[in-house]
Amino acid sequence: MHQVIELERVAKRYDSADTPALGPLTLSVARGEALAVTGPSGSGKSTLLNLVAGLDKPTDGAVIVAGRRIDQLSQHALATFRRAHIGMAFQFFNLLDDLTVCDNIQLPAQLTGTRRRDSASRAGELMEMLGIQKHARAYPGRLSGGERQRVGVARALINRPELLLADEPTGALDTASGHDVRDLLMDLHRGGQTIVLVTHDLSLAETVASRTIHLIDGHLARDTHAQASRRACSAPAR
Amino acid sequence: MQTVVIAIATMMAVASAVVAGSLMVAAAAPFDHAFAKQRGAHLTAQFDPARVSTAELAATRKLDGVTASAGPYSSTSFRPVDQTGFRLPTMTLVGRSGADSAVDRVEMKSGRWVQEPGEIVLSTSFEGPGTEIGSILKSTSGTASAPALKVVGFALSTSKTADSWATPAQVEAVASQGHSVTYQMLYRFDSAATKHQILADRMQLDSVTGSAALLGTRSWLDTKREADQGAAATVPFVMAFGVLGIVMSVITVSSVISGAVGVGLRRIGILKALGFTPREIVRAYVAQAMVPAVTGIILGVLMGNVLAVPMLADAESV
Repeated sequence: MHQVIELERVAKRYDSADTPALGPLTLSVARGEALAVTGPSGSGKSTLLNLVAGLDKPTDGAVIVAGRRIDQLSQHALATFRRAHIGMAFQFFNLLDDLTVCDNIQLPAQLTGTRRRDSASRAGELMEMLGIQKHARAYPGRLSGGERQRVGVARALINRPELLLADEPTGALDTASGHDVRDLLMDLHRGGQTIVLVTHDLSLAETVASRTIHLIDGHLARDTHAQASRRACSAPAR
Repeated sequence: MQTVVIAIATMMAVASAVVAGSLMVAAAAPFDHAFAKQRGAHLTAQFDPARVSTAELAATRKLDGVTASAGPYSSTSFRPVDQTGFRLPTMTLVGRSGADSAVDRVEMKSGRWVQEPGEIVLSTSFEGPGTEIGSILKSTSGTASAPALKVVGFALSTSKTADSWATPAQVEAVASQGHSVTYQMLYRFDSAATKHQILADRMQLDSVTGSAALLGTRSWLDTKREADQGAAATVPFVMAFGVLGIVMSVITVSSVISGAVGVGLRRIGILKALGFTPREIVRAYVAQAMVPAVTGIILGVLMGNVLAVPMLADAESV
């Protein structure tokens, strides 16, 4: 099976720390897999996500994403790689408040040089799929948390990335909005999207992910593959 | 909103800095600025008309080291009386047909220059009750035939070459009331920075006109010393005000920049995660913050200069 992520004895140590924040860790994530990363605060979840996103560089080891060793890329090459292959959704959405929903979603597409007409068409498609098309001309400040997270996910998917990274995507949402986003991630997974989901929420991990790894003090404490049958039964119908 | 705040804050800060900086420059040497602006006289010389001819005076213009000259102007001293009968201090009256000249460009502060006999322009130091524009001065008291002089303006000579000005004919008329007339010549030299240089320049004049003809001279260094002593008390306060203005401007601009950077850091993080290259982030940030900042700076420089002009005019009068 084609691996979208391969971490080979990856370690990350911050300047002042005695022990590494992460690793050494070896991990592979296959195409179409939905991996949940759980663990207590300070266990290395965000460090792992940042390394996979290329936002941070490992102290040791190799980070290979979509077949490219990204820990050796320059800042410019890394940015170009990230915009083409990785989509990110954040806990606090990180939308640009001075851009409309539609412009926020299209921003990464413009970076890749996609024609405005094509990116608008793709954004329209995503907004319809995520049920936010009526907010296309609205500014993010006027939307609910769940709607804003949908916009964030739409923006992450605009370039059809091989990998969607979601950092606590329900962490700032109320229960109903959280369920909305959970269902959205499940739909994306069913559609074949590779997802890495960092979360404190074990029920979200259990519902969405096909595999869960649990980190403690930067080390892999548990690696659980969900049974296909259980996933099929527990997946709520939409 | 942030764009507008950046533009306005930058504009106000830059305007304050320009005003404060201008004040500091002006306050650092108010006499020198005003003297240079008026092309002040390095040496003001009084000659006895009975002992020197106008041709000889004309010859002094061509002496080595003389870079500019003006005159001869007829000059006399008199003590006028105002309409209430109050006797003003003795003042030098110089006959000049205009305020502008190659040396000592007298600056009108109010009113106009004399146009005909019977009019007088006073130095701004004589401005006060009884000597307003339109008021009448008599050249001497108790004499029915004493010429009446209507005040038509107030002017400033940084070189202090005269206390008042009238037409040349009027000076003759005032002098006919028992005052002596002298010729006033104004000179600028290429070397006049020290007392010794001024003395050497004066000796050159002596050599042409004869020492008996040269009744007296006044060096610009003496005028400068008096002006600097007068301004000494206010300069520290003006300088302190200027420094305060610049410090406040720096604090304001720093606050705006740190605020913009604080907001910008979040934006930069988002853009980086979306795949913006460092160069694209800089471009986006420049568009967001630098455009209003540059607009504010341009407007601030304009506003600062507009505000500084009247203040500098006052400073130059010190």
